[in-house]
Amino acid sequence: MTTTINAAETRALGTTARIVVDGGSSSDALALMIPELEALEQACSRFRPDSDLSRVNDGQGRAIRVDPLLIEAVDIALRAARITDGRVDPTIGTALRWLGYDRDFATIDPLAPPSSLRAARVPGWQCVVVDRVRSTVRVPSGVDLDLGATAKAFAADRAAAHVAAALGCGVLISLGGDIAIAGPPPADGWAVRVTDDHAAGDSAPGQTVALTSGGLATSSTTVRRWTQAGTIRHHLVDPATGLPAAGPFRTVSVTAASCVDANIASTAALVLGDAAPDWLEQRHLPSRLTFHDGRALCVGGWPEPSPTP
Amino acid sequence: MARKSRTERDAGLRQVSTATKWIAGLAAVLTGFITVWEARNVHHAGASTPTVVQQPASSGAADPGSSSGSGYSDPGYSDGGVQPPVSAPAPSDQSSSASSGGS
Repeated sequence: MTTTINAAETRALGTTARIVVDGGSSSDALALMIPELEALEQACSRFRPDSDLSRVNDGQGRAIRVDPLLIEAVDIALRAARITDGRVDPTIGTALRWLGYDRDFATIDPLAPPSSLRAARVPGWQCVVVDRVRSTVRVPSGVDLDLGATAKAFAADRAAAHVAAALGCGVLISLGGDIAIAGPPPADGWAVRVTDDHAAGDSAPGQTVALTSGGLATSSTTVRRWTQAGTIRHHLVDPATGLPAAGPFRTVSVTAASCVDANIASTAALVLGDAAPDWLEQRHLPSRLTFHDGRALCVGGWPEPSPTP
Repeated sequence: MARKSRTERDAGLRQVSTATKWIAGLAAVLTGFITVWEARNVHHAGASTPTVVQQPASSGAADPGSSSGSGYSDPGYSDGGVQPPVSAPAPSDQSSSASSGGS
């Protein structure tokens, strides 16, 4: 079987958007992907004042009419909260703002002068009211939704399915390292390098694996870090404390039936900390967990790395 | 005189007949409006109860093309929990097509 892999890259959703096709045109694929990502950003960005999500967060407790795409994205975020017992919770937006992550990360000064420290347990996903009939979302005044744990993965799943259906070929989409696959895979599968930082390249410490379907996501405390009042912060917040998750693992990679599910599991695992390996194993999720000292733990059928010669 | 009286009576009866038809027509239309309004009112009353909407089991996106106009099917997200992949990843020594890491 002949395999012709073509790739193209752009910036979207505040990160790198890469599309790879097997047997199709990468420029056609890119042209199909971009509107999908723009639609999602317009609906779900916390940093665009004109986005539907920003209007909900600024709604002062009122029900705000929004695009059905945001309804769908909020439903997915609430599902994530439900199936992880609240460990992945979209109401962490206010906690992130208090921690200093209040604008597009590219514009945050990671060494900014000290600011005041504030933290609080998040209000909880149960306070979010979605009305599908009227297409409205309502959150109590002072509560900010953040869809960072699911929206990018949702965009990857959605765009990959769209492009594969339109071009009739195998497609891989990576949005900042959140990977979705659709259509027939190449004969040897899609080779993906798993590392701490998706932008680090093939030479970075990690492992290369082959995927044939579903999604792969990696959550890491080593990226999106900044300093607040002399304390290092990162974007993965434990809803129980409103503070960045502090466990034994710095990076968790998970494969699942979809990119959304992989991202839910990798985020939940970092919040779970010591309990993560059992949680992932019980759900039959092949996963690679990296300790702070660089050691890797493979569970759920994730292949052990080849021994270094 | 009698002829004029009959003519006036016939004209009056025609007016009554026409008015009756209009009233009957309006009543039918009004009944339809009330039925639709009541149906919607009951539906909205149930939907607007302040509860979090639950995603139906095994439902995917309700309308994936609603925003962008595309008509494809996307992966279903099961309400039963995080779903494992069809197959586990395999070791690979190929050059990678993409990297997965924090972002």
